[in-house]
Amino acid sequence: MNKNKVRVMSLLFVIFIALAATPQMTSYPTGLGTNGNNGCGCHSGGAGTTTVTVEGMPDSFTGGESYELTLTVSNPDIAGGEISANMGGFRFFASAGTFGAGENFTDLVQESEGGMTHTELGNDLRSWNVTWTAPDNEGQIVEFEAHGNAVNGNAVIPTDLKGNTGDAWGTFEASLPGAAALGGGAILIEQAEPFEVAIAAITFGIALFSLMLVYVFYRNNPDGFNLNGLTEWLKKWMTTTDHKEVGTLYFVFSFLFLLIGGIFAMLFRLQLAVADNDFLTQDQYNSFFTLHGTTMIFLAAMPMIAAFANWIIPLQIGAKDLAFPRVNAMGFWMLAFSSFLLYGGVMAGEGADITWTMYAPFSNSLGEKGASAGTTLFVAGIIMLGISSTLSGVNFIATVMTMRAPGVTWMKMPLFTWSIFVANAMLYLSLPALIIGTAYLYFDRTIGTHFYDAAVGGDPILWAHLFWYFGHPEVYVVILPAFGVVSEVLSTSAKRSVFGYKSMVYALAGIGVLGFIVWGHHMLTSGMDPTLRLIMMLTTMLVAIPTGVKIFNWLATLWGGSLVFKTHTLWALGFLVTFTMGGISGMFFPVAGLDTHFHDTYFVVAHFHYVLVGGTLFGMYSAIYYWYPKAVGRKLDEKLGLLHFLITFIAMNGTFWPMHQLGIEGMPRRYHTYSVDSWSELNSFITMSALIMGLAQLILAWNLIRSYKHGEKCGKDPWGGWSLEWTTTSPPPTPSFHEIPTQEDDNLHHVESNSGGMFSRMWKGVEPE
Amino acid sequence: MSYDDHDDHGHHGSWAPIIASLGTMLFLYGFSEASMGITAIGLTILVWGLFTWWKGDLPFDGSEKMGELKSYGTPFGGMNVRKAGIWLFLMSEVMIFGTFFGAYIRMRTNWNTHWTLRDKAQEAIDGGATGTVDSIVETCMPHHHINVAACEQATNGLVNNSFWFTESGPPAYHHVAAEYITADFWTLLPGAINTFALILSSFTVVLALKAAKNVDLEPRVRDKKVRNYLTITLMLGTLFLILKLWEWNHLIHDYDFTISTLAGSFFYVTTGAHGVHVFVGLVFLTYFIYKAHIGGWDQNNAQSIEYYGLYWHFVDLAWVIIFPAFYLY
Repeated sequence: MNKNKVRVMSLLFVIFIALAATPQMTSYPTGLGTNGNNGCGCHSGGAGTTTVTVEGMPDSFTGGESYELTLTVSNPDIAGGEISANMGGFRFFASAGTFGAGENFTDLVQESEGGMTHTELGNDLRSWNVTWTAPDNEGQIVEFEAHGNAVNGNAVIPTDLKGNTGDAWGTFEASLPGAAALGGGAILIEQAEPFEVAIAAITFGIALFSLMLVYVFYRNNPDGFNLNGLTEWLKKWMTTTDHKEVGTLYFVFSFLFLLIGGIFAMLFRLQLAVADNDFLTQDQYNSFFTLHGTTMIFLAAMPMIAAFANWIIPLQIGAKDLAFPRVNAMGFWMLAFSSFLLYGGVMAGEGADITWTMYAPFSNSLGEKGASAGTTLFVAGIIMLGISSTLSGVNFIATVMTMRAPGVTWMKMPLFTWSIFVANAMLYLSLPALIIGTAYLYFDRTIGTHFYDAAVGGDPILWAHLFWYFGHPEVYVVILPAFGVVSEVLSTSAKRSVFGYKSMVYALAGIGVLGFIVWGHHMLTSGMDPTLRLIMMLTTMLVAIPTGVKIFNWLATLWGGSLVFKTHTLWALGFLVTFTMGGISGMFFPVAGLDTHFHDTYFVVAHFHYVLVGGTLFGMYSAIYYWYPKAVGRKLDEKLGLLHFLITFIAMNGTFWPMHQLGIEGMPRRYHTYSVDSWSELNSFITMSALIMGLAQLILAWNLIRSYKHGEKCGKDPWGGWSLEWTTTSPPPTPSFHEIPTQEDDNLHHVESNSGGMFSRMWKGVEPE
Repeated sequence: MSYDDHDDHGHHGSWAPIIASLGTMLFLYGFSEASMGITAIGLTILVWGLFTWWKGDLPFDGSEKMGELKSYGTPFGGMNVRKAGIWLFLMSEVMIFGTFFGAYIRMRTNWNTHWTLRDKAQEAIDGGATGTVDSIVETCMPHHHINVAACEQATNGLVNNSFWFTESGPPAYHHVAAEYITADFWTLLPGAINTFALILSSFTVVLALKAAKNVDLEPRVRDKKVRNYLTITLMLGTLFLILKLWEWNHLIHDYDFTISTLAGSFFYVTTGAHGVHVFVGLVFLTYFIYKAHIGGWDQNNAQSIEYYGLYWHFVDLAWVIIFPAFYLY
């Protein structure tokens, strides 16, 4: 085997082992992390020789009846007879029914997180009584699982060590059929376990993805379809530093995670469809919406933006590549590997449940009442994302600042390049606050610091400040590139230059500056200083001015132009409608009085989905239809595109518009269920719309795959755009320009390229001289 | 500290990014799960990635073909692209240390005392004091200044002098490191030595750069000079880290000033982050010394030492601010 094959195979091996191993982490006796789910947080010893027995279990249960169970741990190696304290512990789970304390044992055992465990007092025993009340449905089989621990107690181990050594865990497992299920007397109804659904969907997705990779490899060169060829091909993608190839990697990655994030959204929308639903448990709901938010922002929106920035920025400014190609590749792979850390928890059934905002003091607290064990991994993943974004941010800014071809002055730069420049400047100046904030959080969870622990004078609000100092610029980081795309698309589609170019640039820069002094509006109800609250109110409202300038400039661009309705135009027009609505609902929040009412309701959810889906996602979809021909040399199918747009646009409004009303009526966000029956009607409608919207994205996936080989072929400039990227071939060569081009005048350059662009379209029948 | 390929005849890939990223992931995974084995494997893979990167960097001769690009246009026209990159990177480092300072100053100026105070106020109300939590907090800390006498009266004596101050001064949970460090000359000495060690090492880096750029020297003499100056820098940096660890040890064992107090959290994490920056600098420095040892530096590629120096000066500068803020204040 040659060297490359060994490298590729060993890397793939590690990745697949990691994928296969993560779901197994729950079966490790101490659970995931140092604060396992199988006992109190203080025990981390390994598997041992302890025997766990449960007495009092019937042959079959009767619905609703209570049973007294006795759980005993015994271990001949660890004496328990002569010592009086800290002898054992247990954790008892059942897949259905409820636990309660046994008679005379109320002080010794307690219910926690759907299972049973001992109290501090119960720590001194090796046998405990609990009651278990059977569920009403007798047609099912209940699975029992108990983890028991024999400790060698105070007599041997000092209390301050809390039995970190001398622990030995054992496991008990049993199945108990209901009376009706006994002997096949009833049809068993297996309830879908949402975790399994999610993991199966993700695993299935990854398997499909791997198959697709092999298929793409095959289609690229059917004759070279062998292992050597495959490793060579994989090596090319794993080691590439070319901006176009890294851009493609970013795109594939982001699209995959867009779908995964969508699966989570659909799962918890099913949970919220009707009042008092129990499809998901609280913990599942919490970790699903946490993963949904983080995935969509960090693993879908930002990589998709990075994909287009990678592809288009060097082409638009006439550079051969980015300033630091290897750093660029590093940024991508950091992002790709961080997803393992983010998803490690949820794959093991202990997903982070701290929302994408990761608020202290919940996120930093450990143990029973604290955030789940997967949170530590999740926070580590966020730190890695921070490294990734810093690397790519420095790279893009350096590229735009230093690599512009002669003639591409600041005020001649295309607006997409401007938007990426401003967005990355914001990103890399605000990210340090997040990196340090999450590092504090990470140390609070791992090495015992107390940054956010109020009990020793720590400061949970510090987290909110650090997070939102990053978090608010972050929302502009994901919306500004969409502004850039829409500027490009609308001016090309309207066949005229964008109205008020300079005011567009100043508006972008203005948002870039203002974005740093508005973060307090996320914290108006947190008990912040009233003076600071007033300042943040005013600065937040100021942001509406540059944004308004942009909206009116786009409208003016349309007014004077003659519009061509291609699919990318439709998405840009859809963006204008939905983003404006999202912007208007956003103006409710800086008003502190209104915010007190709207805070943490579905009104907020409606607002930010209008700007993130109706803004960022629509903008990125527009970019996909607009630049796909440049990357591939073939257009996407316009009919499928129209279908995709119509369904998504209608379903998107159907999903998020009713949330405004629910929010005003007071439905809180981040709750796994609700008991107000009158909310069910709107929620069912939202769920149906969400499912339709989710499924509609498969049209785009199909379109992307199909058009790769079967799309309509196109030349350099299919849409009649006139920025520099349309002057190279489609797809562009590597490096992207053999000769660094000189930009003399935008329109002149375009006429010279003679590709049937703006000139000939505007002046039909008149040939350029 | 490295160059990037801009070969006109097809580009060369690099294994370094994917290997280093895998290493980073395993390192963080191991650290999160308290598994030293995986942490060590992750670090090893990370170093492997770094070596891969350096291997590609070793033949760098400063030519444009090997990646030293010149910048066009404002504001960096004519400057090397890598230099602009380093300055931009340092800007984000400024924000990193700015965040450390912002959070630290917030603690030191009692912004967060509100939180403990609110608990105490509730306790006082439960115990019969009149007013609301907000009114008591307002009485105790009008405009974030402490009014000890009024506060004691409003909380029926619950929040008294000992809540705010210990005998030595600051609030009980604010036993800052400076209290112990400034206690006598011998505990202050290591920090003082460290400050001068870092400043001196910034100077020796410049001397190394000057020697590398000196075309009048014999190549062998020049290589030796560069190597020696860089080695002195390495030794000074190592001295810094050793004294730092000795000092930590002293604070933890002699004064019981641990990471589990609030001030301790800030002190150890901030100075530790700075220490990590020094350590990363030393790791890169070993590579520079190796390259000097094999005679790899001349006037054409010495700018790499300059860019490294920019980073090293920044680390020095950060220390010059950390020292008074954390050791003396």
